[in-house]
Amino acid sequence: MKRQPYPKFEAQDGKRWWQSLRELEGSPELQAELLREFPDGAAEPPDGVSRRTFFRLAGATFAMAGIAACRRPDERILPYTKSPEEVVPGNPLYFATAIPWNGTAVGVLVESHEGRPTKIEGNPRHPESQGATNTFVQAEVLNLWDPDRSDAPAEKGTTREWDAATAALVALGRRARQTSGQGLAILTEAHRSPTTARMLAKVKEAMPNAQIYRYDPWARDHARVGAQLAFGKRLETVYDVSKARTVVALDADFLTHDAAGAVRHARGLAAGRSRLAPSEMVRLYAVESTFSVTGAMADHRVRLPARQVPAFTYALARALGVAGAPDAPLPDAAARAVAAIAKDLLQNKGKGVVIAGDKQPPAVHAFAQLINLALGNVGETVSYVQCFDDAVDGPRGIAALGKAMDAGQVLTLLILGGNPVYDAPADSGFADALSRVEAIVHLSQHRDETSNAAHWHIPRAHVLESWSDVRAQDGTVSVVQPLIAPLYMGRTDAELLSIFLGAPEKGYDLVRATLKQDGAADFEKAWRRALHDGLWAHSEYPRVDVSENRGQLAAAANDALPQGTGVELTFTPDPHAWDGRFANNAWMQELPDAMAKLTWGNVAMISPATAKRLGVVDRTESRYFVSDMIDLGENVIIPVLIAPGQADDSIALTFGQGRRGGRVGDAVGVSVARLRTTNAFFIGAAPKIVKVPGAKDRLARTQEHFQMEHRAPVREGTMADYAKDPTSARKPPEVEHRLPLISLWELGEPQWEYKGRKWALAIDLNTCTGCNACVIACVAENNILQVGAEGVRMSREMQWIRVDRYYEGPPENPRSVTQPMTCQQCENAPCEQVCPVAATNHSPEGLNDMAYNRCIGTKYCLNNCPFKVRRFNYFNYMKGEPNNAETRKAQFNPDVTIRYRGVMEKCTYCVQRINAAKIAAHRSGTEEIKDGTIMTSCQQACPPQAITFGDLNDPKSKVARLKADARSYVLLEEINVRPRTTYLARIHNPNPEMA
Amino acid sequence: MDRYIFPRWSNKVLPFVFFFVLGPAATAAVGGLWYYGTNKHIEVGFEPVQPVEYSHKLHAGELGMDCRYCHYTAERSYFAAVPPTETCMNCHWKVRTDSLLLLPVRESYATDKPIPWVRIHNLPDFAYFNHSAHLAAGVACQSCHGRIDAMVRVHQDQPLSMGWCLECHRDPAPHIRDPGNVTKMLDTWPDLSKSGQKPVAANGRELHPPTWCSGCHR
Repeated sequence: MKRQPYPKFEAQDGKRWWQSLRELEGSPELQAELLREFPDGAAEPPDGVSRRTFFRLAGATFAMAGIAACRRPDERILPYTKSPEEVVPGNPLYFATAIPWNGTAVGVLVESHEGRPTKIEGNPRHPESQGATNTFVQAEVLNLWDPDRSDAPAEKGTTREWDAATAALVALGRRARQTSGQGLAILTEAHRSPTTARMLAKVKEAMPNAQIYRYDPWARDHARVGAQLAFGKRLETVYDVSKARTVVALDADFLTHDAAGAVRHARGLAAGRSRLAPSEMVRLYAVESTFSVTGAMADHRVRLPARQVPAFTYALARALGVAGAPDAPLPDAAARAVAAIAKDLLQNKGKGVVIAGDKQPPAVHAFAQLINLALGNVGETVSYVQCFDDAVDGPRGIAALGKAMDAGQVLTLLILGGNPVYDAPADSGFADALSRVEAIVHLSQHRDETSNAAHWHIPRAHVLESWSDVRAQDGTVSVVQPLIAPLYMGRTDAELLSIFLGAPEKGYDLVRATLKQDGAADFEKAWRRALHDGLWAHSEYPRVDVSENRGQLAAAANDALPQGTGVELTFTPDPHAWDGRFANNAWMQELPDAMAKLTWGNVAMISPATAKRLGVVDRTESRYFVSDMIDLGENVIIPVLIAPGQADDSIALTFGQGRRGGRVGDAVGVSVARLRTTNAFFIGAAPKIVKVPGAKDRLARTQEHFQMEHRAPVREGTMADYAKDPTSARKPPEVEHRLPLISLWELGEPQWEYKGRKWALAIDLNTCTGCNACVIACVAENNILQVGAEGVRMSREMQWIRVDRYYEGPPENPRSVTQPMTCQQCENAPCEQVCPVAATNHSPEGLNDMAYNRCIGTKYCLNNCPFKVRRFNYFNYMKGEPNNAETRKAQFNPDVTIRYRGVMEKCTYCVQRINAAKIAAHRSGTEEIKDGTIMTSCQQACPPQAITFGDLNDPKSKVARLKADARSYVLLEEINVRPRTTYLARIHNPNPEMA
Repeated sequence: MDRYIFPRWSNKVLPFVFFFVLGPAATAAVGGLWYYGTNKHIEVGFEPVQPVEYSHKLHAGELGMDCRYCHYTAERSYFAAVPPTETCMNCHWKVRTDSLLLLPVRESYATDKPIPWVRIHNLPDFAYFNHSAHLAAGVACQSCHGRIDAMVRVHQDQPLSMGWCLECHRDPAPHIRDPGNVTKMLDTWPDLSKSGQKPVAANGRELHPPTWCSGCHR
């Protein structure tokens, strides 16, 4: 299956976009692979049984299946006996709730089909969502239906009845009360639920000697302590990036996990990047050790090891006249950047913002906030609100608990959520001291590492099953309302505490009791309003005025400077598993992360120079991406990944993988928790770094899959050029020697006229952050199945939308642009011409329809697709556990077919949503569909609103306006396939002084 | 080793083999394919026994109840809901309260267990039919379901095959009625538009039923 590649034109603007180091080096193997239609072995079954054997074995099954399918299946219709209010069978309902997320809460609307929650959308009224979501919030619905969830309480690993568990809890509670809570310890996650807080206070009231601890492996304490150092009080910092013209991110990936509120930040940054005027457009500087989503969006990226970021911050503070910053050496390039950034910030007083990352020590946060204060940014782009409470999330809490346990001071330990046995810092002694506790109760959704160490495991209700509440970072309260009764009778944290207190109450009553304290005039009315809107009106915290009030800042600033030299380790949450709670989520595991494009695992990311020094390589060996392994000490042996843009002498690790238990996530990746200590929780040094001779790991990476073979699919320009000529950015580099356009059809035949609707999609590369929310949203909406790590290695992944990440520049420190790529719905679609069974056809509205039941799987269409956006079902991925578990199936969207083995599938612009909107219009007797009524799933989830769908025949539609924009271009215009999807070129805004 | 030669008597066995082995096997194969291989899902006349001996002839025909009294979501949803047991009990808590035929209904109402009706009109899962869209266009219940008012036990009246769907999608005019008439069982009705002309729904909306794949498959 060889083919001649389409002649390609070398770019004439000197830019060369590359996706992998192998491509940049011009590897001859890669060239050879590109000549193949499908990667070598793509059609091999996963377990090594050869294709022919497979068919022989399966032959009998095929024959019988064919016959059985002809019989009328005996299907039953089971109507309600008493119809529930509001339910119209067949029509989904939406409920407003909120999902606690990383120091804030994202308000969501959850789609429910006859009582089954199937899809999570953002709540446009909620300040943290504004209608969008992120990957993890989208994937939460799969966690609900996870067939590996714990379904019953267990005592020392033996399944027990709920009554026994409740009785044991009540007995423990009674005993604790007798001693006024002496010997009782409660460990919670970094929750933000007023009801849980109220119940904890109740426990403390009934048992004054009880100790309440908190631990979160991705703790956000440093920002709060930083405010304490700068302003004399612990505060939450809320950024409003939308108003900013100069944004400086100090090791802060605020578009994914830093500074809370990633969705809001992405929307804000998009606003700034859409103001396309030299004096208005935002300019983003990122100072970071690992290439992050924020770094990829940055106009200037300063590559610096994480432990030199304090020195950078101090230098910036000094340059801006903020006193008290210690002097510390900086590399020359960084020092030059400091001067330019300082000048830029000074020019944009009140319109700049400096954001410090959560990994960075408190002193960095303090100086970032003092800079913001000095520049008059406070009140404009930065504001402060009170903290949710005084508790400490970080390692000190759990270390104190470990010490108390070790001293035998803890008789009863309640662990509300979390998995501290897996993720507690190594020096906390938590796991070892557990044996000294008489009774441990662990509330969790899975029987995990901690449950196995506990005396009692109690199933925890999922957020979509719970009555609860949560405060966003700015204080906005949302009522968390259940979409479904707890599948396994799980309890919420607050419910468990009420049982422990001997007065069991329902979550519903607990939440209402909390909110009644708010003192609304008409509580029932306010309650109904909150359930409808998804937020409690006027519940946000008042803004706090700040003034400089330095406490221990001078000492803290000196402490933050690096002590030793050598190679540093940085720890961030895993883009797949987060802190481990998404480890059993196949959607997340198979999601290629934003920069490394890695699935199913985690790696140690190192720079090319460091790799050379350590003598490690990653390479492609007979179709597999193979990495050397390094030993970082503490039994952490992890594959390396040579990452462009990674700072030298800095190793980026992600925590959350390497979990045990769960059929999806068991033993995926490597746990790095053992390397984290109280003092080196986010940034530390490796005990040792040694190449493990002969050890290799095959990584499931997608960066070389579905290559566009450097045909300049991404286009970009600078703000300065755009101001002179708005079309400059979209101009293709090879415009001069374009072939004449030829039609696939006979010459003279008129082009089809699209008289009715003309659906189209526009994707703005200028605001796209490459955050992958669209990918998970598409997976959730369109019932896309996962193929597993081995499947990804063989290039069988089935996500209909992929986010291509391109680098440009030297491998040590390139720039990057991301491009979401999905079916382009070509008007002259090459796939349609080659289908022998007419399974893919064009609709009069311009959609490239795919009739799955007609497809016989020749894959000709994929061969002929210039964008490589079609996906083939090599196997029946619904077969076998856990996919065919009843609970897993309940998540599927009933409006979309589940594709079978041997069928090609692809993006349809969410045709089920288009049809639903059309039918709804017809029901009300009209053809009119207002622009914006139909949103594709990717569009709806997109935090920066980079995706726009609409009707090109409606001249007032947003998509028609975007298509006419000066930055608009189509891919591979020269082959005249006339794609319906258009892209808007990226404009970046470099500082002329740093050029 | 000697050459093996079939004994002469074996010539007589051959006809027996044909008659007793190959013949029955062929018959079984043909019969089996006939029985199992025919497309039952497009078979008109499928008339399963339902868990309740409900008579559409009595309710829809003689009593003249509107279809939408029971199939209450037909105008709002893709699915024309089979009524909740509650709907039956609206009348039957007073009417014929001691009828044995209604025992399963009363049982269902008392025990909160649904009545397991057998699905008659069963489209494949990859075809997305929408009742509300068809009613909004003025396609009558009768067009697909036949004279329900004359059926004691409901059977499938039309083939419900893709070809049959497309016939109407290509020329819907003969099946379009005034919205007041869609749920009525009629022998004739006023033509809104002549066959072959552009079909128009009663509210004046021009009808363009989809004849492309994604109209029904997605």
